Amino acid sequence: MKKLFFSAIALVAFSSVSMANTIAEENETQTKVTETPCTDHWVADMKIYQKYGYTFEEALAFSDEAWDICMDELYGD
Amino acid sequence: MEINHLKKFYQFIRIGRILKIEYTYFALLLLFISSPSFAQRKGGKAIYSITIQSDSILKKTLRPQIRDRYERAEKEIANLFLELVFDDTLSVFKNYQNKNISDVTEFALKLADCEKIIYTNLNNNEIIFNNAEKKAIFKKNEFLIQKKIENNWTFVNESKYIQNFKCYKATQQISIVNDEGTFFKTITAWYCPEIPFTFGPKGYCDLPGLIVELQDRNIVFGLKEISFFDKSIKIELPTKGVKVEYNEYLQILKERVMKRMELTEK
Repeated sequence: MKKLFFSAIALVAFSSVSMANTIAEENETQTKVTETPCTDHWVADMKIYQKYGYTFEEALAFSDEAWDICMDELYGD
Repeated sequence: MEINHLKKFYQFIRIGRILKIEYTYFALLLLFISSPSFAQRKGGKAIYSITIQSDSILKKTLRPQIRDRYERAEKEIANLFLELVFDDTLSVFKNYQNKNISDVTEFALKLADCEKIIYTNLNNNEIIFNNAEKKAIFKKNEFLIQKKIENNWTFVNESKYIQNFKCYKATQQISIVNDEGTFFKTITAWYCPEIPFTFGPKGYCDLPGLIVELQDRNIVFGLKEISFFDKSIKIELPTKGVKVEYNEYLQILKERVMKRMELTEK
């Protein structure tokens, strides 16, 4: 009975540790940041605003503004 | 102060009734003598206000940081005014006495596509403007962009009074071709035949009267005040910059934007 009890505990502990490692790896993947996040956002924004029906120039006004804010937040003035 | 010759006309009719004079002849006589006719007017100056109408779908598209700036621009744009100076064949549309503007106000001007001075030349059937300065893309006045006027207005059987001017509605569909495909937007204009100058905000023209109100997407330009000149005015067209057609300018813009992006990534 004791053996069974401690085996169960060991099994749960081992499983928990394994799951924790997996979650940590997943989180590491999700929070991985590219080297140029502002530019990545800019590219995505240009696509979104043009899909909304704006001209390239109009989309650029939005995207550049967001890029400026992003750069200020990351690197300051 | 607005000049409304119709208001004067009705005032004269009342005076005629008091003096027991045949009011029609009296009013016509006084109108002829005292009210300057539009035939004598050489041009004018119209001041427009701008409003950004709420667009919930657009706001959902915006990132949180830019959404905040957009909402602030919606409020600050109420402090912006634009000026349209015109004669029979030329007009110039520009930011009116707005100096030392904030970043948010500058963004508001960009949203309304009013950061540049736009000239309309009916003699050559074209709109002309210099490019705005754009960091790492364009120097100020580097190019002089020429765009042919292509207005295909549809006249709508609707009218309303704006600033005591009876206005009629016209719309046009504009196609937009960008990297994601072809789209259409509708421009709505309310023009006033009483003001026989065929101009309006942002280079829109070719209607049988001044455009008193113009809606481009959710940006609305509304006439705030108007005055007229009895003497000829001189509107000088820009000469600085390399002359390019509008489509060529867009191509140059794209190429330089892509180059800027490559440099940023390095």
